[in-house]
Amino acid sequence: MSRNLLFRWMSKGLIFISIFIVTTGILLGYLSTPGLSFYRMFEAKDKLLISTLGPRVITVGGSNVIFGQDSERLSLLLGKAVIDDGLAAPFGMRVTLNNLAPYVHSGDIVVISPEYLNFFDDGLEGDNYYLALLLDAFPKAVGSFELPQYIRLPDIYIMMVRGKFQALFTNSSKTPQAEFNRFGDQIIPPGTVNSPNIPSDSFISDNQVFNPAAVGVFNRFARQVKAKGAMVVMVYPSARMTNCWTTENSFKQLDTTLRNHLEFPILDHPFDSCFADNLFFNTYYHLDNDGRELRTQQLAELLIDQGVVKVGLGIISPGK
Amino acid sequence: MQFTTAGFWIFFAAVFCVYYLVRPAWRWVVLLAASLYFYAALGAPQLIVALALVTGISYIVGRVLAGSSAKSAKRKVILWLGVLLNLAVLIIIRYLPILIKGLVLFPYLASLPNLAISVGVSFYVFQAISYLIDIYYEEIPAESHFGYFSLSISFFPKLLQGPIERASILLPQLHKPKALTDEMIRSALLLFAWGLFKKVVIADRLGILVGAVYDNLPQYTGASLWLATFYYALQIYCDFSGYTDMAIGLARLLGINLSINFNKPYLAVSIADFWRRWHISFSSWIFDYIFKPLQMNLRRWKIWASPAALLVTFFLSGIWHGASWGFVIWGLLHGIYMAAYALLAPCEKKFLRRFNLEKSIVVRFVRIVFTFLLVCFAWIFFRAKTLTDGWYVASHLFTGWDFITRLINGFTHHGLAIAGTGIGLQQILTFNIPIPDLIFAAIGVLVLLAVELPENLANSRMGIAFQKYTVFRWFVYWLLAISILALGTMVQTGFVYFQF
Repeated sequence: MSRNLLFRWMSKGLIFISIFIVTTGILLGYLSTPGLSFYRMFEAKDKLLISTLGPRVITVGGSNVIFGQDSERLSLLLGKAVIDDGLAAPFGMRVTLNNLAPYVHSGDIVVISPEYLNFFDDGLEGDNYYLALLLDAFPKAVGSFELPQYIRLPDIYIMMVRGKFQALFTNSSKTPQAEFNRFGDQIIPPGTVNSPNIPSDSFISDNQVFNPAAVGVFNRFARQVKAKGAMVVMVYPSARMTNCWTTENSFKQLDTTLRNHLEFPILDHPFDSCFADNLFFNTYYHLDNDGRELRTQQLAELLIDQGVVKVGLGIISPGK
Repeated sequence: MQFTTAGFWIFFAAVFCVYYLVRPAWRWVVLLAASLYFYAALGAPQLIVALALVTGISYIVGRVLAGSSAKSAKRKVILWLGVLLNLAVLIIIRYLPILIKGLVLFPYLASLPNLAISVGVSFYVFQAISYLIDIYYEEIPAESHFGYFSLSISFFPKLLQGPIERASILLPQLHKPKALTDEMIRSALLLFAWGLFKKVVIADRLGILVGAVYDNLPQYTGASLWLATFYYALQIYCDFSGYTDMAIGLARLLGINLSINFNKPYLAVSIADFWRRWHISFSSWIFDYIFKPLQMNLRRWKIWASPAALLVTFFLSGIWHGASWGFVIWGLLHGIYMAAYALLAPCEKKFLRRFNLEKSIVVRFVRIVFTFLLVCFAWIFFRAKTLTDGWYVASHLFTGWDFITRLINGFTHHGLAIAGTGIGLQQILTFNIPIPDLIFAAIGVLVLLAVELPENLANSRMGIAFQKYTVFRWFVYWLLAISILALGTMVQTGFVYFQF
């Protein structure tokens, strides 16, 4: 192949890509997609982290957190401001913790409740689809990315554009604030009936492999916030009892591994966070309102009993 | 790093530029380095070890075979040693996770990421075995240059899913790749984009429909199971042939022609014809290296020799696909089809000749439909997660059809608006998948039929316009690119054949 031919085709390629980007941009701008605003909760929760005075109890994790606590009640039980910084598990805990770290202050207590998927395979690094939704709703979130996300950035942006196109055909627009209360808990719409068809899947499948990098990311976060004078603890995510039994052996192995390697305390065992099947409303880690109250009570007792929170100190409600 | 990701496109663009900027004598180094990086990027160290072992074993055994006298008794032993060692690598890699996890032999290894991945191994092991057998029968000389030989095994466009290239075709091309022309670049890019469209727009979308049924089997019967199985037949075709199109396109950009692997398989008029059109490099491999030697050994069984050899060949083919009963049943079913066809084909031929039906379009159509149904029935066991699931589908294909009676009654007594029937029908035919997903899938399938059904698209009016008018050509490129961008699924899924 002559260099002339190479350069000619490279020029053609660049022209085509430019035309493609411009026309796609015009098309998208003209059609003005509604956007996927549910994930603006990321931004909303950042504002909560800025505006709430401390010292605070910050709970962080995936959707098990936003469905798993009544932060107002937890705040009353602990006598401290509580911020529900639960996001979506498929963002991956690397991005979630990177986002949280700058907002943690001296005296804060960070309670991490990570979904099990974060400890296996690439779960820690997030899913392209959800990261695309996140960037679409809150482009500044790219600041919480690291190399594993950066190398997938072109795919994430392609997914984002694809999402915008497909939003034209689907009713994907959602109002962000109406679904969350002022503490960051997700509200289950009134009248919602628990699904009778929740699968009995294992939380950890046989072919999933433990990812040691997850421990590194959690420990790095713990060191960062400890250096600021904050405290980090972990509790296992809420889980449906039938699914817990399906995962029993893997739970034991994971718990042993984490206790050997994490540099901060784990307050409970996986089965301590397993709840009756009838307390889950749409999947095996989303508690319904009754389950949420039970979990809140349990979490408060755990934090008080283990001396993490001394009752009576601090303020009660988060700032607006 | 999959062909469908932007990361791979950037990687390939870099390889392409470096490949053509270095001196021709060093281009194999660029390709070998790129291939090793590509394989290592899967993040599974055991695969690199397997690749190194297969390459090393085959190179050494090949040289020893070539150096031994044709009449030497040791020659056969050396060949068998090479074949068995290669097969040992394949078996160990396939069963490594079971060995390590199940027996807890090496606790450290159990923590290795991606231990369960064996992608590509079965493909290059087959290629290495055919290389040794071809040397044994003196059909090709042994490759003396270790670099070129390594590249022939690890050449990245075909490394993960084939085609399973014969050394006699690939090695000479690696030594002297074709000089690239405008036409080659154009056709290669178009082929790559078409393969990407088939994978991202059609296969992945159909995968959602198939998954909706096959992952929730107790909720479905009859019509839904048939539909989901037909969708799966299209899904696996678009998934696998899409990958092959992309591989051929990429290799062509590097001046290498890879063999075609699919030739309108669902238009096959018999099961034997299907296997001449489906996964051609694999089927020709098993016919040349398993079926023919077996048939020779069983020739004293006379009329039963071919059917028996076919049964064994396809049984082994099922096992090659994986250690699961579903694959074994799939292989056995095809073995039974092929054996039955081998026995009945002469009668069929006589019958058609007698009634002068050989060129009948109706007969041809019936044969195509019958073959397609046989293939689809076997796909049930290929797709089902477990043998129990496969049996559920097979045994419920003819149940639940009473919805037609209900529908007719609904029309007769209440008109179209009968709500219960409407909802039931939607569940049965669309599996409650959102309408846009169905529309995107339908668009994809229609485009597939429009592009792949015509006998000679290049000489059609559209084909001529495509070659003649630059603006039209660029519009087609743009349309293809925007379709891939806009209509692809929101979940990136791997290729079905990555597991083999």
